[in-house]
Amino acid sequence: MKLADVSIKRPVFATMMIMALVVLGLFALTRLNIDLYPDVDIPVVVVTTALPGAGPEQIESDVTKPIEDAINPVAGVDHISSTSQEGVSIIVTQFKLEVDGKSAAQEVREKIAAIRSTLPTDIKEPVIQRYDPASQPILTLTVAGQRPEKELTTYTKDVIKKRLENVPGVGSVDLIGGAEREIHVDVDLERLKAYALSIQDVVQSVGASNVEIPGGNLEQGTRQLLLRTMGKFRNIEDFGKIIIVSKQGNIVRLNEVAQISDATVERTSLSRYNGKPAVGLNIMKQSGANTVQVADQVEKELQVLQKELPGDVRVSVAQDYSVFIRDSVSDVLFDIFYGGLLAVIVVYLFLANIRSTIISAIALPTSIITTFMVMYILNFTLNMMTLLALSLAVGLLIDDAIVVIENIYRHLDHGETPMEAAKSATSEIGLAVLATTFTIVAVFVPVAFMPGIVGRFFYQFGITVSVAVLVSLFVAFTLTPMLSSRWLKKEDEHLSKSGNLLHKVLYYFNHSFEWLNGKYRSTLAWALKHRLTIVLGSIAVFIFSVFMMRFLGTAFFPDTDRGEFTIQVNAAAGTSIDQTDRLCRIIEDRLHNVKEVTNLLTTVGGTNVPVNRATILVKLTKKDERQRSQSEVISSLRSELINFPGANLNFSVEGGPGGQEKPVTLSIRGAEIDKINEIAEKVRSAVHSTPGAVDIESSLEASKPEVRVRIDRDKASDLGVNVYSVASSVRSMVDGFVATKYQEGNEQYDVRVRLKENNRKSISDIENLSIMSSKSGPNDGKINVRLGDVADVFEGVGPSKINRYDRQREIRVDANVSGRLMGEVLGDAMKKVSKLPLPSGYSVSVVGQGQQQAESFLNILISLALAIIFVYIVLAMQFESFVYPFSIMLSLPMAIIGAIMALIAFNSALSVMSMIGIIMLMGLVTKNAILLIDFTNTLRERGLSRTEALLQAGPTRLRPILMTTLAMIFGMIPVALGLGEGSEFRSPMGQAVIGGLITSTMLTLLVVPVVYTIIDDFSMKKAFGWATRLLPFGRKAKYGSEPSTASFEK
Amino acid sequence: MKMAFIIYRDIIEERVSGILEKAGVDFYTEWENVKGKGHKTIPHLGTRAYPGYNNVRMIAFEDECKLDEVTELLKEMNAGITMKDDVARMFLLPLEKIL
Repeated sequence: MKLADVSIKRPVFATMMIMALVVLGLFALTRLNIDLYPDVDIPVVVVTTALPGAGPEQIESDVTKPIEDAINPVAGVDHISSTSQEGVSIIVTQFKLEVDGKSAAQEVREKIAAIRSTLPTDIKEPVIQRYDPASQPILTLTVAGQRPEKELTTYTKDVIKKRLENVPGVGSVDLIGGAEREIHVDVDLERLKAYALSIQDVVQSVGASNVEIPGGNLEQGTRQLLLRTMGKFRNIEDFGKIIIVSKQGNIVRLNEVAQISDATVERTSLSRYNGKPAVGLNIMKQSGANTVQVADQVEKELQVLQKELPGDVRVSVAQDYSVFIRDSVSDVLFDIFYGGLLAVIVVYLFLANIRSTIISAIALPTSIITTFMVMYILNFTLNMMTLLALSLAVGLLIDDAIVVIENIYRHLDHGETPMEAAKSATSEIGLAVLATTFTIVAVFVPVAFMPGIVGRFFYQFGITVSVAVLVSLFVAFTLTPMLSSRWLKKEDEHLSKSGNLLHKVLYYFNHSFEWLNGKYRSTLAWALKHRLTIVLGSIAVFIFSVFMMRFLGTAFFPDTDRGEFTIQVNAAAGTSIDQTDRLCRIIEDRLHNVKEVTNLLTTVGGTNVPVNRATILVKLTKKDERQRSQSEVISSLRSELINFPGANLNFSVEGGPGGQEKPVTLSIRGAEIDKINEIAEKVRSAVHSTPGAVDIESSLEASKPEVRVRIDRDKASDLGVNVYSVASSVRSMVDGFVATKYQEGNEQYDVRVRLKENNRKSISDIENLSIMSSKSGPNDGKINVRLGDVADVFEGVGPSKINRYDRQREIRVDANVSGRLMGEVLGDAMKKVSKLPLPSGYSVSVVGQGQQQAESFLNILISLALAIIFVYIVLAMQFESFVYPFSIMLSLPMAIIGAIMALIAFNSALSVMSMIGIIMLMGLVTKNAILLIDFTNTLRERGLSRTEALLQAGPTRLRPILMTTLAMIFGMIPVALGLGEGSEFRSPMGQAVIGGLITSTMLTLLVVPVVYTIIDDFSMKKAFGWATRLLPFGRKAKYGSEPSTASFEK
Repeated sequence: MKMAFIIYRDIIEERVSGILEKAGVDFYTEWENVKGKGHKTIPHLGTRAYPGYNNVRMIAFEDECKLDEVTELLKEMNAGITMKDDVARMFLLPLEKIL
């Protein structure tokens, strides 16, 4: 082992080499950003197009469909889903994972630009965004004060929002609730008619009277003066003096036909923090910026800002996403620290020597710190996945050093000096250690490159584990032999039972191995004589483990107790903002009585959210300060509010990698909405009758009441009005038209012209609206046409939103789960749904988390297969044999039983996390078998018979096998117990690994030697005699001959 | 005059160097990483089954007193080695002439 020899000969060189890595690692650690999950670039482009005042059906036909048709040919489009709702079309285009998000967004932009002229003229410019899962608000602030809401909102918008937008890393700051200032020109319809004016006349006059246009330059000798027309109003009262000239030439001032007021924008959202109205500010970070750093910067800015604010204005942090990240990170660091400590204690018990324990333990921090350097180079962050990788690898990182040190000890026993023992032991064990490490890398590389969204999340996980174990291998071949050669003392190994309690414990613990070795040797000898029993027993155990899988539920990702959840309040379509607010207050009152609840943040309506919908963010006390779990609190509230009148309530927790959709989501697609609705109702009842399904909802909401204006084209034409003039006049009169902007200081406010409220309240008011005709009346005057004379105004119902998926109309039926696992509920629901008769052209499919789970499980199985193949490749290379790897790989099925039993014992589900744990096991359990078989082959090469070799190798390698296995198990105990914040996410992985390690170690100590002898018996010479002549299968000829004792029972 | 060949396991290189130094022998020729096997001892072939190599020192002794001292020290060293496979061997040949 050249590397070890160099390190032993040149200790300063070896120390400095490791020191350099550690220094670089520590430097990298200070630079590593902290985040919850890896920054995953999901190629999704969202197109949001607003058409104010348009209904869902109009939005679908005029905006959504043309844009969908334009986007569809873009290369790499996977799915297009859209929602057409009142005033807005949202199209989400999901691209294949290999597509670059930026170029996809650019292509979508170009396609939309090409059809822009065919879209309705009054749409607002389509907003094209790349979806970023990190673009949830990282902070929500509330601003409260003893002043009118309008003033507070203006102050928040003009001062606080602007200051926060300038904080580095802040992407945007959205204002929620509050009352934004707007100048209203409320026109009196009767007066308008009396002066023979149309609403357009008013809009045009207001717009034309408030302008400021540059007039060029005046040259005066050496001077140049700028010419500017000062046509902007300096105060609101001046608007009243605007002159409107009628067609007849009458001069009318604006204040004669309208009332001008300094008002607020029609309220479409409101927010309340702990029952008190507040202006909310949602702070989003820039894509790629670090959540914790940005939150820190914002808080620093807030501290400065707080001193400058007027005395009555207070800014509070209602929601800080970085707190959970910090807590989670510190808890994983806790797992790493205590896991490492437990592993070191195990090593100390075995080695009973402080020097050798320290030498092995040094591998831990050295490997972890050096891994930080590689993580920094690869642009990783300290997130749940990378830290989970390190916390699971803690027991692993010490393994290589343990195996080397243990072998050094064995050589010290043979009378070698520490220097000699370090050299000979490292060269003796080097290849086995190399092979064990490479099997772990072989397992984690396929995990890192797993396809699909989940694969992206596990990329950093797999690479981090691989890097950490490779670094630990480097340390085991450099620092460990070097320190052993210089620091170990032969006399240290003498144990005595006469010392203190610790010495006694160490003495008896180590001497119990002599007894254990004896027992193991006799059991192994028995097993080698009863190979059929062992083989059949192993097959039975494997079949039993497959059978036990039936009792294991499935879930996508484990639910995490984050100490917060949201209640979505969905009032009936058409419910006013005040009514939705009233319902929210009732729920808030109930929530205040729940002792675990600490804070409530309510948001009614919002950007692209209708006013009949509200969200209540419920924050609970910390996990260790309450007796009930988050899901217990939710269950209790759900049963209390199950029949809440006036609104449907949905409980949801912040999504992990699984996203925000409900666990059970079924998509019903087809051509006709009525037919889809009919099927959706049946699907809904099927889901409803499935135990465990709660919060069941259909995306086709109860139809929204609407007032429809059906124009009689003949009458309209006769009276000189056309459809466009009717529609635009109705919109200007009811919704209003922003005619100009009023400037005060550096800020500009909309000036909205529309009919006064009394003129636009009822259907009869709408019928009485007057439209200016193009035809002239007596005295050449224009005539006003009553809307009711050219159109039918009636009440009807229309869908509140229309969903489409892959350009087909779609209704989604979704549900949360309670008391059962997602896989169970979804499986039962789909059994019922599959029995429903479906007309041709209509389909029901699982989407959302269910679909992702199925895809992810398949990808994990592919990774598992790849991991097994790579392990085989490494083993075949190591043993220079095509057949011996099979005897080692038979330890893999032995691990599954333990993993399943552990998951059942901890009441955990088979999720992505536990399945990755099982893959991890594939690498870990082969370690033991490698140590055993490697030494067996060595002994056989030295001339021992097969049975003798196995009976000597087994007990010799029992100690390092137990040491490494126990170090791994104890290292993972903090992860498996799941005590800290967000620990539920990672604990199933630890549980599966610990369970698998226990059973596989116990079983493989017997099964692997037995299978080794069977494979040896059926060696190529016997089974594939012809092949042996052609290929160098097996190495039997080199090994010792087989004594008659090892044979099948007859 | 005698020619001595000392053959020993590579890991005890430092011990052998110490002996020569102590005996005042500062002249030798050394071969490193040579393979070898003694009668009924574990070979050192640099393989997984038989890891490690041997080293060989060729020393021409004009002064046989030094040779005696080296011989004694080697015997002393061998007595302290538990693994009998790892003891050093010395082969002595008559040396006719040194140029």
